[in-house]
Amino acid sequence: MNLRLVELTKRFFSKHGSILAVNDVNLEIDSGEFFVLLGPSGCGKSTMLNLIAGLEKPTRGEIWFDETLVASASRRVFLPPKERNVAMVFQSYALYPHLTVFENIAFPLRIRRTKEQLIKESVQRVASMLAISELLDRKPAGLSGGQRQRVAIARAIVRKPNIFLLDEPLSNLDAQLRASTRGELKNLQRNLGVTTIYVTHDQIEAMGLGDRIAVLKDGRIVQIGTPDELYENPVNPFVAKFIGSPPMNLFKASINYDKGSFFITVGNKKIKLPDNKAERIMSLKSKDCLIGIRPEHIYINPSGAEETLKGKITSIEPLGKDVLLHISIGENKFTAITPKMRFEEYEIVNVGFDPERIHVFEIQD
Amino acid sequence: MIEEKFKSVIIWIGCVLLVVFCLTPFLYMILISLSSSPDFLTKLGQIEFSFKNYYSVLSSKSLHFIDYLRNSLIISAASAFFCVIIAGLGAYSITRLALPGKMLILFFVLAVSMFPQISLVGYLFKFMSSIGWINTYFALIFPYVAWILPLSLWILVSYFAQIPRDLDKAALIDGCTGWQILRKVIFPVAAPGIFSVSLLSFIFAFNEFMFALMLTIDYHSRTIPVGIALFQGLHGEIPWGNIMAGSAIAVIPVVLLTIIFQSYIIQGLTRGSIKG
Repeated sequence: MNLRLVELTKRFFSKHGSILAVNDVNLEIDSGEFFVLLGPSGCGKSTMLNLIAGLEKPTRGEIWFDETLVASASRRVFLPPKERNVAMVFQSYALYPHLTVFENIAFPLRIRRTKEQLIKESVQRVASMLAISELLDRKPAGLSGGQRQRVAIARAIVRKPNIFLLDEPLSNLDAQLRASTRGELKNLQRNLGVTTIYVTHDQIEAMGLGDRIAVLKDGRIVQIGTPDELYENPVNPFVAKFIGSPPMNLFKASINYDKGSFFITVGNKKIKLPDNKAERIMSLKSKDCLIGIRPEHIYINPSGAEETLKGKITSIEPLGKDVLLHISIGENKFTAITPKMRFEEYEIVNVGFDPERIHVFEIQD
Repeated sequence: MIEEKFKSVIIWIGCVLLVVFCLTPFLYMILISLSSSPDFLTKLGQIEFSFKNYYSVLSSKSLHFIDYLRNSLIISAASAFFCVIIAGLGAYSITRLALPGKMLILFFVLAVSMFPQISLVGYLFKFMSSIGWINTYFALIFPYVAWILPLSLWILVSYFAQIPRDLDKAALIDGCTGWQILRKVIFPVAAPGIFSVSLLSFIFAFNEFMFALMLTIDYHSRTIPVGIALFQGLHGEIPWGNIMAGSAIAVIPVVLLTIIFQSYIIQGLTRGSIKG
């Protein structure tokens, strides 16, 4: 099912004034797509999910499921969750503590007065799909976090929803389980082919799972794109910092024009900016700008002939195969990821930037 | 080690004192009820055991003890039932709906419950007699429900407030209506609270004396506390044996209920719904 949000806005009113949680969001999600809403806490991503689910009414704007208008503030249309056939997995799992696993999964079917035989078959089908068949007689209190999570997913998919909504479903799992569940979740979504919207603040999850990602900030969409697009071409420093781990190095510099090329000065060396950035640079409002370079695109003691800078290693974090170096060049501090070699703290090294991988951003307040 | 032992000895002594203090009158009541020549201050050594008091209380038609017991059970059960239903709906709306000034409602309810019973009983009598309810079950059930409701509401509000909102949301998305959420999720999850409120309401109504004294006339609606208190009027003397035997029997339903329900009234039923 295709999902369309048109000028969607949600404002919460309280005693202390009002908060604009979702601000004029326009978005189209294709049928069967795995779509991720990514943003820091308080950016309105969960509110967006609640609006789509029908747990909140929009202040302005419309929500369309295919050709069906499910919510519109101006036309006074609001379908309750029941009529939208959406399923949701909560961060807290929200299992019914008084019911067994079987009854938890069967709950949405029972509410729809499904035939007993069909309930039994459906529950057993999803239970075996999620490998929880032997837990059906237990109560949620007797399950581990990962098992509860599977039950919550089973409950969501048992009734073949139009849209599958996941609100940070992995954040209560330990790191190892999170990684394996991520893979399973992606496979499950591929097999079911259900349009899925996944909310997270973890960019690794977003990059790993999403066909497309929308990065949100203060209730607005900052950028929509595939994981690669967001990584390669972030539109602003916020996205640049948010996507990628460790985050992109950003520093202020002023751009100079000399002999048909653009240059920046770092330390006391000039670095030539790639020609394909020219258009971008021309569109900047001032010659002072933010320069971004990812840690993995900084080379330490390169063997090639490119320009290098002198930098001092301030600290070293081994990452196994690679090593993360904190380097200071003049006043600027950088992080760099480089293959493991012997480094010493306070050692002076040659630092080279991959000029093709340099990003140029407008300075923002 | 010695300190630990000392502590546990102190705790034991405290507990024993408390239990003895609370149970002595009760034991005395049982003893007197089993005496063949009961008197209020009989020396314990002079008691001859017999069940004749129990026999006379249960078999003597003129005492109407069985009628009182039946009235008490019906009135208390009905009061508890209505109390739980009304307090449940109230607590649900207070904890789940965006009601303006809901804390005000809660405190107003609490303030109303502070009125002493005696200040209401005169008006209540006039009211009940004018609508012709004196000496009916309703004359007691209505004021009991009103009287117990504030406490029940407060208890259930605290229980319902602990139930995570995500459960409501999950139920809503699973297709429940507001009523179904209450019936299929909130009430079962808050079962310990529901049981405590039922039990409390039952005991309150079962023990209540003043309203029952003022608003009933005879065995058609009189409840046990009043019935036992008025045993003496029937005979001119104070029939300690009957009073004590009656009281002992009257205790049985409450004790039974407490024993049955106490296993349900356990905290922590919500464990497992939300992350461990």
